[in-house]
Amino acid sequence: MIIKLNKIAPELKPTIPDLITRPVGKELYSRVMVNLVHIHKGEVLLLDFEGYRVLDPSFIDEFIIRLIFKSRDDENHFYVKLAQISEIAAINIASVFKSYTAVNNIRLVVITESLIENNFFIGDLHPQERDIINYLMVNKTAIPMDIATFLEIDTARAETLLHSMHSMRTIRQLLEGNTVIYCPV
Amino acid sequence: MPSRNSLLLPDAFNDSYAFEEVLNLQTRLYSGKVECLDLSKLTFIEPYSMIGLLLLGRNYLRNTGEKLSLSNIPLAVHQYLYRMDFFKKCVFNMRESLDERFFLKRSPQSRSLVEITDIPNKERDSIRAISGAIAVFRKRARHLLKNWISDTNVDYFVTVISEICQNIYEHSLDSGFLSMQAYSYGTQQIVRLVISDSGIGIRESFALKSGINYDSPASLIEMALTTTISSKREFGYGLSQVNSIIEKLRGSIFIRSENASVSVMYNRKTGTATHSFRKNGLSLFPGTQISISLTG
Repeated sequence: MIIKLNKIAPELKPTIPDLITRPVGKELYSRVMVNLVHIHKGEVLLLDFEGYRVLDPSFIDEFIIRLIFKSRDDENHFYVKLAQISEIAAINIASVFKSYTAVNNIRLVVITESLIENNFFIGDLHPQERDIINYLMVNKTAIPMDIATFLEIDTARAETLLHSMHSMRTIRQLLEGNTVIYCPV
Repeated sequence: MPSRNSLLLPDAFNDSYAFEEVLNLQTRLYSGKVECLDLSKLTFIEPYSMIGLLLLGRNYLRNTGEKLSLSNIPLAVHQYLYRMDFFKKCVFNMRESLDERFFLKRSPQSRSLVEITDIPNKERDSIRAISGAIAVFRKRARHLLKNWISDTNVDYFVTVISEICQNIYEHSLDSGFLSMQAYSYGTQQIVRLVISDSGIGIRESFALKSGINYDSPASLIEMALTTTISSKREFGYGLSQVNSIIEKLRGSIFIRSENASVSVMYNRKTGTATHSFRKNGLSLFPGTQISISLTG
């Protein structure tokens, strides 16, 4: 599902090119939730921020962080991906995620469509997790044994890493027959 | 000639530290005899002091039901206050008006400022005001940030304006004011953003929050600035994000709330030298006043 913020946000009359304040974040979240009724389990929600520059921390807290937690619901999980994120928006998102993690010890990471500071994500991933993201970007799919071979670790460790990354919705998990395979968001 | 019931204000309107001299005069102001503030000594006034004076007058009006008068305003100060829409706030009685021929032009050349803007305490009105102030800032950013101009720096300031202004309606229970100005003082080029209110202040806003321990009001201000503590939520990002932006810009931030203040001067941060200064025991002045500066 693709949601172009510039299609739904103008009704709230925010200051173009900025998405700022808690109330605007809350209202946009409510509007996106209406559309999310139609999202399939395991589908990618692409949030397109074309035309916007500043997303302030309050907006990020009310909109992006809430969507990330929503995506982690076991019942009807989905994957959040951000497109056309400005430099300042990426800086603010990274900063808010860092603060959130420091207080709650819960890692927040979101996948991006284009490279942000040499990564296809914003947030804090460990080096092996970054390597997995990059591996999947190139190879498109992997089973735990592929990752174990790539990272030179045992399969059980690879399974743990992949499971953890899927819990954060940073990689997709598919079932093909009896085999669990992983692919990029 | 100062009148019998006038209070002569010192020439202490050139920065937030000097302005403490003016705030120290509040006891005399409320002695019951002062009707007028004599500004004849002023040689210069910058945005923090200007909004401080406005809040001083508004507090007086709220506390006594009467407006103070301003008198003997030097021409340059009078022109500046007029240009910044100071008198549109209708906080003071004016003993003398400025002749139209002395009005400063509102030309593109004088766009190195954002006039005093009300930040209301109602959510919807406030968002409209914040959006309006940001729109003005974006239009004039080339002039305001001429020595620091880049898309990223403009966006940093948008984040700062948005986050601090939201604190007014979320935490202060009062309305406030915003203003911004690029100016020269001596050999320095300065751009200063000021956002102030006269609401309940940082200490009172945390009064009902459990688990926040601090040893002085200034320590609490510093915690609000450097950590993610929040009076309303589990945690907040606003001021701590503002702090990290000011650090990136190597600017300085001054926060005063009630009787304490904190200054963090990233522009003077070198090695392990102290660049953060706390002050307690200042004259009580309600609310929270914030001044952010870039100096070059």
